[in-house]
Amino acid sequence: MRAAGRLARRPVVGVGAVFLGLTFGMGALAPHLGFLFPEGTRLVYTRATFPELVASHALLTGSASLIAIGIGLAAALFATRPSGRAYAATLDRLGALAQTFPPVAVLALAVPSLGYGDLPTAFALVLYGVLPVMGAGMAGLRSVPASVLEAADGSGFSPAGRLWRIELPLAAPILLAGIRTSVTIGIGTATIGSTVGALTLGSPIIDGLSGDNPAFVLQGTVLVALFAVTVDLALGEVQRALPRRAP
Amino acid sequence: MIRFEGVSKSFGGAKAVDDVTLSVARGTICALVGTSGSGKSTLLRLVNRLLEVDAGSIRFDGEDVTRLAPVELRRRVGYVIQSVGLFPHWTVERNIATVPRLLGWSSARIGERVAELLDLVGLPPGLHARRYPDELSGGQQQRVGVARALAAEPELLLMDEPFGAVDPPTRRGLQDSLIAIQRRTGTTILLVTHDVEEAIRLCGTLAVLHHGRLLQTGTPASVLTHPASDEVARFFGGPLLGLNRLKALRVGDRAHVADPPAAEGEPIDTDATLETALARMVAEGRSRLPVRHLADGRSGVLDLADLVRP
Repeated sequence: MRAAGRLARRPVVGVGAVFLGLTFGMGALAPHLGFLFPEGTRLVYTRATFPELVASHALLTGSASLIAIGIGLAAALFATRPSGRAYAATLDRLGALAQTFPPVAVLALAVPSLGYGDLPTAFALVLYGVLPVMGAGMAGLRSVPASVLEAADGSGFSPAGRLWRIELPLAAPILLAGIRTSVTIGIGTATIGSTVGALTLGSPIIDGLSGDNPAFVLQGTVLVALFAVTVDLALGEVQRALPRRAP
Repeated sequence: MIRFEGVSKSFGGAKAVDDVTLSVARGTICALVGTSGSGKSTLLRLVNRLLEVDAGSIRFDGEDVTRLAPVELRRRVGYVIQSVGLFPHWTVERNIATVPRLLGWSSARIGERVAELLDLVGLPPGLHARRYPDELSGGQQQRVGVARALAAEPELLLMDEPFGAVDPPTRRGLQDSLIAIQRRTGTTILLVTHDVEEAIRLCGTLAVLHHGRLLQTGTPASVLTHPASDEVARFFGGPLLGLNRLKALRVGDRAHVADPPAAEGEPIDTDATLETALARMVAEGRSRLPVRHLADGRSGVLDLADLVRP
């Protein structure tokens, strides 16, 4: 009970409630916002309902993030094993380089080969999401002191046992910070996917910008911002809940 | 217990260990001593296969270590390093339970063993079992490190400068504990150190290494009395070698039967070091001390001249 009470006072609960409330209430709220905008502005977005937009946005960023976390973690593991250590510097450089491409450019390049819609968006999201995870994974695994690794080897851990019981738990705080960055960036970046036809919270923003409709822009922006902040705070709670004592 | 036979190991063309042949008898403590870069740590790490030999063989209990799976071998051999390397996310008891858990002991047996080991290394279980490594002093951490290495009752304990990072009084306490533990468990210990005093205090055998080659082996008394070469003499103090020799020799080695009148003062034990005897002579202004328990039951004396007798 006390734990539940403490949790209820965490910011994630409040921000999350506002996000969910606006997701389901935007349809009812929108017609009453006319005073904010120039006379004659269409106030209700009709291409899709906001719960549909949020669900589609969440599915797209969620699946892209899972793939990105998988690839990023695998790359970080590879780069910190004896067999892959020679590639670590290359992966570091590749990571830094890939982050300099603007997301729109990635989308534009992806469309000819992947077509319009979710696929090029997911591709861009994965590409962007991998790097923070990979970087944080490498930093986290490298932060485990050499003495701890030597003691683990000397105690007779198998390589997999050492990774699972010693290295990953000790790398977890830094790794999770990277995952948090990756997912939060992904939620924001996904809006750009609507320029190539993906259904996301970017759809009202893009339609509003091209149709000169500030109401749509505001509705999409507020929701995507709340979405990103909610997820960021939620992952922050996971970080807090991790066992104490990083090295 | 362990037999090194013509063991060599190079790193990028430089020979770290060069054709070393050495035996360590069961139940003894053997010190690998030498300056930095003498290859002593390398030699130690070849035993539990953290490094692999280039040439020669190492037999552990008659078996060639390269025929044993590294992971199985390491679970049978305790390993203690200077930087301790406790797992920071685990409590003291979980750290100590590392190898028993890897070996799949029952939790009841592990719990008993952990309590026993905390007692053995002088940490009351009630106070320390549930603490985390960063809540312990350096000396306490190394006590936990020793307990972790002994947890699965290994026949052999490898120690790489185990007490090099703690202050001198703490180091003495840890050395005394180790001597007591070794007497109780009979574990064979191979210990790397560059601390001459530690080697003499703890070890029944010294193996002196220099640039990867084994220069001399023997008891502390024999090595310090008859150093085989200038390098050995230099390592054990150079011009101060004589003072270190007094640490390796006991009163019983030099005392003789008293001609009356017997000496005055508090008698000294036969197993005290000559260094202690000299210190008392200096402090008390005497050149003769009475000795307790001479081998044949008669009382004896130790003269200053006995200390310098070759």
